[in-house]
Amino acid sequence: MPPAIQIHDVTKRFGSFTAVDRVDLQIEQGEVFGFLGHNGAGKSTLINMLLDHIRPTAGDLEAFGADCQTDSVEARKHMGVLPDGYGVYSGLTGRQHVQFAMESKGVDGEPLNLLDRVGITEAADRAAEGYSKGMTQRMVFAMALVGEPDLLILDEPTSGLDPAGARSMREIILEENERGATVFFSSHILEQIEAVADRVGIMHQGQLAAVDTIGGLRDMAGGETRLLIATDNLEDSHIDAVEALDEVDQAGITDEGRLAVTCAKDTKMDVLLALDERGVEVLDLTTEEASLEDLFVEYTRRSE
Amino acid sequence: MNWQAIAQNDLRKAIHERGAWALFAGFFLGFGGLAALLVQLGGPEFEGYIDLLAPGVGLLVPLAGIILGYEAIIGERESGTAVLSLSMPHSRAGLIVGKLVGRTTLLATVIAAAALLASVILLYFFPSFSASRFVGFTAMSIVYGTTFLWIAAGLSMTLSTSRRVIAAAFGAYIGLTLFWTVLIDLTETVLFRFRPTSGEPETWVTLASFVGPNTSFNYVLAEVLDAGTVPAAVVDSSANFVTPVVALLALVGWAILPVLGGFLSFRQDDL
Repeated sequence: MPPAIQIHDVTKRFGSFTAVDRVDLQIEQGEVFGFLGHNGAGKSTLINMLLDHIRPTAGDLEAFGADCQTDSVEARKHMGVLPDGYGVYSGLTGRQHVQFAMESKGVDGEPLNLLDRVGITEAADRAAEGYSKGMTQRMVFAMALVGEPDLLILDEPTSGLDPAGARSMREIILEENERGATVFFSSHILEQIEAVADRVGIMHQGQLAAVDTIGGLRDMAGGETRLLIATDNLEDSHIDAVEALDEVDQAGITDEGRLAVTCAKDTKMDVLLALDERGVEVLDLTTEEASLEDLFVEYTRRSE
Repeated sequence: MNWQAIAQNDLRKAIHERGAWALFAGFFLGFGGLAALLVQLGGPEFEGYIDLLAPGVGLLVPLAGIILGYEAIIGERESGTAVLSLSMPHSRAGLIVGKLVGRTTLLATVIAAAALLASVILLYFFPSFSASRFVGFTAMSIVYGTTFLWIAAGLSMTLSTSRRVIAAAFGAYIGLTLFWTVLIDLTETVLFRFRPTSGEPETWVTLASFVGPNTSFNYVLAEVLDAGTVPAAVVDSSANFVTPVVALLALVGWAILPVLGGFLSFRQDDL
């Protein structure tokens, strides 16, 4: 079984600017892979090379074993794509756009079913150029879903969508994955990726800074946790004692009088035991895990 | 190569194209208007009609071809619809073939529909109306327009903005329809150091003049359909290549070479 996507040592330069820098990446069939990075990090450039819209300066890309450059039609037969920077056909309705996608992929069916699925049934017979950004995005998503593709490639799929629209798109992405489709989607919004992706790749300044599961990324980025502990009585000596523990970075008192401890995730119990030994009763405990945002900042800072 | 979907989609969109409707109206006014004028003048003759129509069509049909052709690829690239269609399993060659088929069908429909409407007037008022000659004339007009449509489409695959495509296409139009023979003559004069040659022109001069699209078109009309006059450059020529087949091949060549060149350049471009 060939991987859904195989990217081997790919570089793309525009003049002296390196948009994508020696990227290696393999995505197995059935995965939901989130591709994270700021605008201009090189995400779309990489996706456009998978589609053969632009050609790599070096390296090669494959989708389901088909070379994306020399055998690009075969590669794209496996794909349903919501690309970046597309335009719609003036004068054609949403229904006609989906119909065009069906004819292009050689699929029979009723366009309305797909428009229904993405929630723009009532706009099906209006000219697509009059659609809002969000409706256009849904329509092209419907075009991508035509013919149950093996691989969905979605470039910033939720841009222009309101929160409800973004949620229903995430639901469809998960449904498609359930059906067996591999999903490769990019975003600069962490929550989008966190909500659906099995694995995440962080793209920064043309390089793939990290690839891992979300859990794995957390661990790699230190896996630090912040504990907020409410106690019955707290003395400076207790704080010193906690701070003296291995793997505790920092301990202090918050404005509300709680004990705040920054430590490795699995040191939590040690902290609580240390307090217990000194006769401090723990009334309440909350933990704050590092958000993906923190991880992202951490990673992009590190690779600079 | 799944170009049919591209062509079908292109034609579906063409219904909404104002340019196409304007061209249809223009051709109908041209074909029908000339007929009405001759009727007004009294004693309408089909001979006179088609002789007058030939030079007019020779000037206007290429313009129609350019108008319908110049956006073929650059329009799709600028509007971003090329991104959409090439995200589906279409090759770049498929996109080109589909667009050419779509655009050419549109041009043929516009000209044929206008001619068909005009032929109602002709049938009614012109006793000497010859359907076969008028059909031939219409078909030849479509071929000639297609040549320029493909030239414009070829440019549309190579150049980076639609403005440049328009400029280059109109340059080609003026150069090929108005100045081709002049250019050949000028070249001959320079080569022969301004010494006037006597008698028959050099063979290559006749050939070069003959394969100019305007000359080829007018030659076929005059020779095969007895419409208009045989172009001056070849009227007395005894050269054996001055035949309708060569003239048609010349028009086909003018259409295919720019498209081929355009394809080679578009194939390796980033979108």
